[in-house]
Amino acid sequence: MKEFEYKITDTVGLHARPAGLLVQKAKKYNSRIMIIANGKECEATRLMSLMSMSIKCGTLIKVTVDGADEQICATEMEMFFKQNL
Amino acid sequence: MICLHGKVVCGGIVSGTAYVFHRKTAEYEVEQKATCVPEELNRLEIAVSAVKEELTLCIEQSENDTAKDIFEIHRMMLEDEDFLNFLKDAVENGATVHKAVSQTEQHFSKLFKDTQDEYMMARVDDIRDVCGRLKAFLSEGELSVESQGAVVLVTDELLPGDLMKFGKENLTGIIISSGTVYSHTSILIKEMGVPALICGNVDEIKTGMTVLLNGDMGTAYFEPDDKTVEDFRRTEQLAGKKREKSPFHKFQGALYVNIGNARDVSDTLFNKCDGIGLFRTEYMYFGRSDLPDEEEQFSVYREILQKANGKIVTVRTFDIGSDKSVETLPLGKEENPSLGFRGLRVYSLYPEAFKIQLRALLRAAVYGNLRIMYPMVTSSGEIAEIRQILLQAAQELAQQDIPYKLPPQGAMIETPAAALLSDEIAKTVDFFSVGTNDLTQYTYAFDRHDGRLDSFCDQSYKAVISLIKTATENAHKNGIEIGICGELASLPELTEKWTQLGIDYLSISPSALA
Repeated sequence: MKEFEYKITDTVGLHARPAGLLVQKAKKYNSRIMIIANGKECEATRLMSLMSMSIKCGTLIKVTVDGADEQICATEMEMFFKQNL
Repeated sequence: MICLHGKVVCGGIVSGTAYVFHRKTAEYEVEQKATCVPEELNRLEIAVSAVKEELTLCIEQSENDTAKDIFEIHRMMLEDEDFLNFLKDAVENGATVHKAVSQTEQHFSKLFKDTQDEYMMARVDDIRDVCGRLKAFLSEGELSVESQGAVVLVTDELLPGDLMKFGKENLTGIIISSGTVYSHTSILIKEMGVPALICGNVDEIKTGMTVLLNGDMGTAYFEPDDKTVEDFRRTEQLAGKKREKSPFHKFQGALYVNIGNARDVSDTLFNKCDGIGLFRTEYMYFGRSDLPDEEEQFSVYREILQKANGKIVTVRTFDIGSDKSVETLPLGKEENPSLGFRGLRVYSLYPEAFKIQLRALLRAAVYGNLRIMYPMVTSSGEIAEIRQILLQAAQELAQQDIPYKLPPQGAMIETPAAALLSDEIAKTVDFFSVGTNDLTQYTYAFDRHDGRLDSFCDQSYKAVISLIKTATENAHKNGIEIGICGELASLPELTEKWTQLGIDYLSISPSALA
């Protein structure tokens, strides 16, 4: 299992559009990607749950990646967060 | 007379007849008879896939990216596991599909409301919209609009989907009793430019009432008395005069602004213009000991594109040389800098710096309506070389699996050579932008920084206009746009000339907009 932390810098937080992008991206991997923030946990492929997690600008999130392609998946997910959030 | 005050969604002064639409009660309350569970599940599946198709159609038909994104999110909601499972569970527990949709709507609305986050609370409208579509399909109903003449829509609630159904052309003004200025509906209204207010209680308003809507002041009068009408007409005239005073009201094309950095983009800038016609990126390179890196540039471009909300943002790649020198990109000793390394010629000296900017631009293009333009073009061969570098940058990004988009590219027409060869150049780019400052200086061969030479420039700019005319004809012959972004664009005496020539857009300084 791989994991990394990321602090959200986007001013509105994990809003509809990036949440949508995240779901699309997460669905491409075999690995199970979990987003942990504000004491809640949610799979990165679940749009509604992600949006209701209150992930705002400044929120520290933990991302765990578990599965066959976890190495590449974790690297690319980290890049995704840096670019979009 | 009834007078309402509200929050402004979109400014403007209009009058018309009220058309009252109660969304909350218009919902389809047809009670479906519960059949057996498998049959209901089947109905649910059909409804979901039909609405998904409907949304796909909306995405394809949307003219701007903002609308596309909204419908895209709506479609994704219908693919969301939690959303679908909630619907299915409700049906399996004996609810009719119709009721299951209502329960799902309530559940997720509550979930978002509970976040106490203004932005997320506004997403409740999106859930209502998606569920509304499902219900509409299930009861085979359609929202009907009976609109004649100037209609001011008065409604208890308005969802993005409703707005598309009513259509911009059928709406003169909008008054909504609930919602926020952050909702997707509000964003779309602003984009449509329809004067609109959010007014609280609209219960007393009836269809057919005369409405005076002042979107600039945030007030609306219904069945106004004579004095109010008189006052309103005066305000309307004054506002009209103010607009007439601006020389640009005579110009029929689009009106863009020139900016030097992200700070020039105020929150209201895009309400007043159609986009950015020139972003001078070289300002990012001045007065510092390092070069702006890819991340820094990317975040600046992205910020502007997001603020532009789907409107055009034209970014000119860094244009240094001549009177604009950058410490970190020295150009060596030049006898005649204005005829030396300038604009795109500098990229051959600093290919790496140029590629970094292109990478940042390609990445930012994902976030809005970006266009790139290149300064100091003199031939089509130069464009071909630059396209090669752009392609390399795109391939690199693709290999690294970084999202990017190839935006339209344009050439600055600021040398007589570019104007004279514009037919050939037009075949290699997507638009032209005339930089009149340099074009004037190169056409009349005088230094524009030496005030003593002013008298040598023909004040009617005949020679420059003749070159612009050639470029315009060649642009249109090749099916591309042409705009003007130099100082001549803001001269009131030339505005009519630009319309006559068929110039597609003018780009002026934000202060000239007034």
